[in-house]
Amino acid sequence: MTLARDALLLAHKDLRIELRSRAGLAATMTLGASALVIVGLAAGPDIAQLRNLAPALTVIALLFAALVLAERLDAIDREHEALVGLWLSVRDKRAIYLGKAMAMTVLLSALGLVLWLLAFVLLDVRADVSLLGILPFVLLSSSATASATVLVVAIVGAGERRVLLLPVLLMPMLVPTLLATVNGSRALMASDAVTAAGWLVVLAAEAALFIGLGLLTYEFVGAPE
Amino acid sequence: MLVMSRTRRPSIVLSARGLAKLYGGTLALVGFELTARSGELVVIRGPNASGKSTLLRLLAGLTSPSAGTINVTSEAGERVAVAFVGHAGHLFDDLSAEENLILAARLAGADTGTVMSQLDRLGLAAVAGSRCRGLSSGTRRRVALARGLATDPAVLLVDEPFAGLDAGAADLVAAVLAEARNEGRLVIVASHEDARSERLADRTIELAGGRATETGSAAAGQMR
Repeated sequence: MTLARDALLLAHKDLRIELRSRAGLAATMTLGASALVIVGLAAGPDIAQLRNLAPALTVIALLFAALVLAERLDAIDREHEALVGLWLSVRDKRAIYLGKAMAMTVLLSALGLVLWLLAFVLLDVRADVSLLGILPFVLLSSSATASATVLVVAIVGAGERRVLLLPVLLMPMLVPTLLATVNGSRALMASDAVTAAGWLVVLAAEAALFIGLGLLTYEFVGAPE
Repeated sequence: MLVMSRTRRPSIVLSARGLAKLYGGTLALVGFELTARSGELVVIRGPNASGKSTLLRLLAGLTSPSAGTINVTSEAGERVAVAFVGHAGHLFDDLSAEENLILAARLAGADTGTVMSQLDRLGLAAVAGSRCRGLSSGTRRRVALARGLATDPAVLLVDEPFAGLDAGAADLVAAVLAEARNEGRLVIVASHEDARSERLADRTIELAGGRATETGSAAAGQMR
């Protein structure tokens, strides 16, 4: 109970800070939307092709935005060594990991919905699927992405090689998430509910795996230096 | 005003044996020994780069010693809460002073009802609702100390508590540190501010080049 309560407290802290400063949200929204528009333009005006590409474009835009958001959320804790204060205050260190993953899931889900909304408009997918139908994919892929990203950010630390190490370690971990989200949302767009549900189970398993890994290892990899 | 926490504080003994810390090839601390108990105020004194901050970070468990051991034991074997107030302050810029303290207290399982009193006794009631981003460095240092105390620690480690403070604010901080000792906490302060820390100390340990010499407690308990 202490773990869940403290994680909620810390997630609330991150969301409150993010809503007050809006720096991370603005940066990720701009990056995600730009990526979607630019790749959409590069793909050309073929509507059928754009519809086919929409899930992949949206997920890739979300992944790049996740990197920016992770940097921003991590910076909140590293500025003025706030993480040192948290580390010594909190009774269960895993709450720091879980709280950060929860906050990032909320922010990525909001961003994912905005990106899908843009995809509906720019890539003309609204005839195939509703925003409500895509919601479980947005929530689960955000949860898997957030839980993996927060863990990798903690492993990489704040060193000079972080810029290189973060994407190199994170992107391979997230390939299954990317494939499950793309294939699942494509199945949804093709009105194949059974296949879509199967991919949702895969996404849920990935999210559970990453959260489990984070809870097992964060106390050893997340300590402030 | 003396603010006593409602939480029962464990009686603890901190013992450091043969403590050493190497950074690369540089010896920051060597052969450090200390045994200190609840209700003591130990001042670690020394010039810049003498190993004071390294020692506090070791005692807080924020870095591992290259050699030696640190043990913090409580009489009943319960968890010992440690607060470290470093140069950086450990505050979230976009939270108010009060929000920073409440968050720290909740995470530590301490009583949040004393938060305003903690701010008040450090002369910070007027800035309780202000975001820390807009506070002066001296005010931030006092908020950081209040944040540390809000977690109701059995061990309070404070690095240069008087740095950047005017005389009035430094006197307030000294009084609060003395109160923290009188409340039964073990308080360890690193400072190069001689006169004020001398008045405060039960014991003074001089550090120079990472090596320690204990100079006793000439003015011990003057501020009790």
